[in-house]
Formats: sequence, C-alpha cells, structure tokens
Amino acid sequence: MIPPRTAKTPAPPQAPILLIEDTLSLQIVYRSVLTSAGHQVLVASTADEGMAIFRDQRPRVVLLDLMLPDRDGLDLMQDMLALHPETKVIVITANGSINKAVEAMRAGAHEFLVKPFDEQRFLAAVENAGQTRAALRAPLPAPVTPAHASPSSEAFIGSSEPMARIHAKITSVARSMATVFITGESGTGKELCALAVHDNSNRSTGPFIALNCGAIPQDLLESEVFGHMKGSFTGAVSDKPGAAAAADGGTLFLDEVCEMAPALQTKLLRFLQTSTVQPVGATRPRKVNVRIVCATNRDPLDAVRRGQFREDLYYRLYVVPIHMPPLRERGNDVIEIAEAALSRFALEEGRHFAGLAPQVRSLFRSLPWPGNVRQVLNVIRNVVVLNEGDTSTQVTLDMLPPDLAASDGGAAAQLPLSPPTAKLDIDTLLGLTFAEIERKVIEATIAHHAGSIPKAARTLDVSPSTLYRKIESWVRP
Amino acid sequence: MPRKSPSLLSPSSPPVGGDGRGHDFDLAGFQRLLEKAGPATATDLLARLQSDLTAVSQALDAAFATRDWASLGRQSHILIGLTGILGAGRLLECAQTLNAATHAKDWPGADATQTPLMAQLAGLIHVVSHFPQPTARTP
Repeated sequence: MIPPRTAKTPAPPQAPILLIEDTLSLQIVYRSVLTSAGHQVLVASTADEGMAIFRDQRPRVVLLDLMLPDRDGLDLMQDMLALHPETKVIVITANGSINKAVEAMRAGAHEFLVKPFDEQRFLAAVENAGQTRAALRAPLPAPVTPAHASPSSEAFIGSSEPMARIHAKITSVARSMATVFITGESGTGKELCALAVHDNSNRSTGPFIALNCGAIPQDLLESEVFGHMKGSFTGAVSDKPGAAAAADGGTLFLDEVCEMAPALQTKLLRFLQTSTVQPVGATRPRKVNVRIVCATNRDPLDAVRRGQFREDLYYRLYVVPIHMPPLRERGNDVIEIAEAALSRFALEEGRHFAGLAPQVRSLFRSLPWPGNVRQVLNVIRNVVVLNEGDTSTQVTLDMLPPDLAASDGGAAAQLPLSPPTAKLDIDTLLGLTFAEIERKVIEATIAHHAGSIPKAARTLDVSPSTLYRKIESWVRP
Repeated sequence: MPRKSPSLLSPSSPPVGGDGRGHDFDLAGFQRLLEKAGPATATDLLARLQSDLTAVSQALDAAFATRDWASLGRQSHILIGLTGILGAGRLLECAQTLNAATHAKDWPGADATQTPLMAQLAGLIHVVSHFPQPTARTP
C-alpha cells in the first residue's frame, strides 16, 4: 500500500516590513539593504499611502521617516499605534530634529535612527524590533490586557495620586523598547520601578540584570558591563560574559548611571547604537537584544551641563523619564508602607504587632523622611528587632528610635551605626582591614555631618545610595 | 565627460568633479551599495540620486532667497540622508549645520552655510551624473 503523501508544510509567511520614505533614492537604498538581509519590504512615499498599506497588510515593523510631504510622521505613527499597538515603529530623523525623535519614543516608537545612514545600525534596529527572524514571521500577538499590565502591588506600596501616575506610566511604557530613565532621591524605589517596567514588559520571562555604576570601581566597570576574555588583563582568569550579555533577551538596569566614567559612556553609547557588545580582549563583537533602564539620584541634565555626562548619551537614554516622588509628597503612603513593613519584618523575626498607634501614624505623616522609603524600613526594622511585641501590641512612640521625632535631615539617625569616633587618628586605622577602615571613615564622615547621609555622600564623592547600601551590609552581613 | 561602461565599477578610478578635482565621496562604500542592489536597481538609484540632488539644489536656492525656514529644514534633512549614503562627509557636515541652524532659527548660521553648501552640492551632482553605469558581472 502506498502511504498517503503528506503535504509539505509551507514555511510561515514572513511578515513584511513597511518602509515609509519620500526621498526615492533613500527608499531604494533602504529597501535594497533590507531585501539583501532577507526581509520582505513594502514601500510607501507618503503618509497616506503608508497608512493604506499599514491597514491592509498589518506589518509588524514600520520604518518611518518623520519628515513626510503630506503629514507629520509623528501623527502618522500615533494613528498606527492606536490601530495596532503591537507594531514596532522605528523612526528615522536627522540630528537637528533629535528632540522630535525623543518625542516619538515617548509616544510609543520602538527605536529611532539618526541620519546619515549606517547599514549596521539600520539592520540592528530592524532585527531588534523583530527580536528574531522567527518573531518577524509570527502573527501579531493578542493585545495585552490591562490586568496583565498593571505593576505588581508588592513592588510599589502606596495609593497616593503621585504613585497612581507612576503606575500608569509604567503600564504604558513597559511594552515599548524605549529606554526608561528613572530619577528620584535616594530611597524612593528606583530599582523597584525598573523591576516593575521589566515585569510588565514582554521580556518579563527574560533576565533582569541590575548594575550599580556608582558602586563598582571605574577600572572594573567596563568588564562588569561588557565582560572580558580569559587572559585579557591581570586577574582575568576565565571568560566573563558581562552584564549586557547576561541581560540578553531581558532588561539591563544601570543604576547611578551618571557616575559612569566618560570613556565607558562612549562604549555604552556605541552599545546602544549597534546592540553589540565586545568583551575586553575579544576580537569580535556579539549581538545582544537588551532593553536599557537606567536611574540616577542626580539631575542628569545638570550632569550634561557640567560636562560629566555625554549629551548624545543623555538623549539616547532620557527617552521616557519617570520621576519617583519623595515620600514627603506621597501623603498617606508612608503609613501603608510602614504597616506592610511591620507585618513583613515581624513575620521574619517571629514577632507580632497590632499595627501603628495613632500617635505614631500622626508623627510619621509629619516627618520629612529625607531617606524616603529606605528610612521608613530602617525605623520599622529597628522597632521589630528591639521590641518583643504580641498580637495586641501597637507600635507606640516610645518604641521608636529616640531621635526620630527630632530628625530633620538626619536620615542616619535611625541607622544602627557604631558610636561616632570624635576624631579619626591615622594610628587608630593601622592594623585594620580595608573594609574596616572604609567603615570607620564613612561613620566618621556621617557623624561629622550630624547624621546627614546626603551631606556625607557629597563629602565622600559617592552617591547616598552607596552609603545606604554599605550601612545595610554592615547590619546584615 | 563621457560616461564609462566598465563591467563593474572600479575603485581605482574615482569620478572627478566638474572642476577636475577629486571629490569628497566614499566611492568604495557607495559601490558596495550599488553591487548589493544589483545592476537594474543600481542604475535606477543613480538616476534617482541625480534627480533628488538636483531637486534639493533648486529648492535650497529658492529657500535661501525667500528665507523659507520650513523648506530649508526639509531640504537639509533630505540632503543629510543623501550625502550619508554617498559618504560625502564635508557636504554632510554643511547640511547638518544648516539643519541645526534652521531648527534654531539662526539666520546668520544658516546663511554662512549657503556658499560652501551650494558649491559642494553642485560638485556632487556632477560626480553622480558622471558615475559609471553599473552593468551585470560576466561569469
């Protein structure tokens, strides 16, 4: 018996890329490069023509020149995204109109390319937009429902209006590839915000790699970000992939990005433009697919004005800004945070408390909390550790650190630091380990500034976050 | 200058401008683009480039005369794209300067670019219009 002939499964049709460019010679060049790379390309010369093809063909990726003869490219993009939000729009512009490109990213563009044409960057952007060739062939996914898009309630406790705005912004930007730039004082939850962006993106199953640029020595930072090959420098005893490669398919969070040295800023810019990493000592770059989220507690534009941060890198990174509000502007959130922390820490320490007494709530609402959420957590941790508590015990004023009510800028007042040394003599440091000397110097500096972490950080030329992390590491080694 | 008809473009014989001097032009890079496009598309591309550059030149002339910011911005935007694919570095810089000046509404800045930009653009149009016509490689 002759077996029935099975039909050969046809290859899935490749979703075309829509190219909207009115200058015909540029259109020819772009199309030629894309088809040579194996893409199917649809071409339009005007916004009207582009919209008609878009409705008809539903391309997954659109390359859009922002300057079109019949309509503003930005408006066209917004109409397209309103119809099919999953579409990845790559906008093309010239240097002089970079603000327009940034505006486009904020409005939902996936990526922007700055003329003049660079074939490598052009193809890298298209490949990244499709993520993989297979993804380019796949049908468009079902739209994400709002229920999936809301940030985790554990990441951000607080129902105030400023936090509601943060939640809404995270929801709207999470699915884009747009770089998110988080600003805010130390302790406001910038890393949690970055994590919420990752968790709500379509990369949530990929890695989330966080790197504190202010806490790593500058001469090691390049290796930490881009990796190194065995033998590339003294101490490189094995190959190391680096954070950028480790974040492939996910999100790379660069905390305190303004602390990055200028030489490394150049490499970061190159990485953002080409989506390739070249580990120290490697001969070939490697392509990676990474979304960047970065944060700083400084004013990034001020860092640009001071010449400490590259302007072109600033424009690359400062696409979707999210400003984390300080706790003092978040109304009743401080109570919600303190209550949640009390439950969690009590569980961890095997104790019981019946919430905060009314006087404590009132005090908490009135304090400026210069250390923000991190300071509240330290206070509550202090209370839980130093008081037994039972199911009927409320946290009362006498359980709080004695100088809390008097604190104004003294965020360190609640932190379990060693008694401050009146004056550090060099002889007292001899025989100590480097870590012990560092701790003594930090504690003395904080004491010198009457407990003010921000002032001590300025003196030591590190960020307040770095000091908070150091102090936390001393508490919980 | 008579058009050449080599089987492939020869990097060893860069086109020269109307003034007889070599022009700021990435011949090798542009040739790679033409080869990637194939002979038919490459021929079309050369014709379109000549047409697009000429149109930009005429529009810029008019825009400088009437101080038409919108047109200066648009034409410099197009010129950045065109000079970028041709690798015409000096003209690209001029176009970028003009584009930035139009965004800043900086008339002295824009005005200062006019003479060098128009002269280099005329040279580039000459080079492109005399570029060897690509033909299929014989096996």
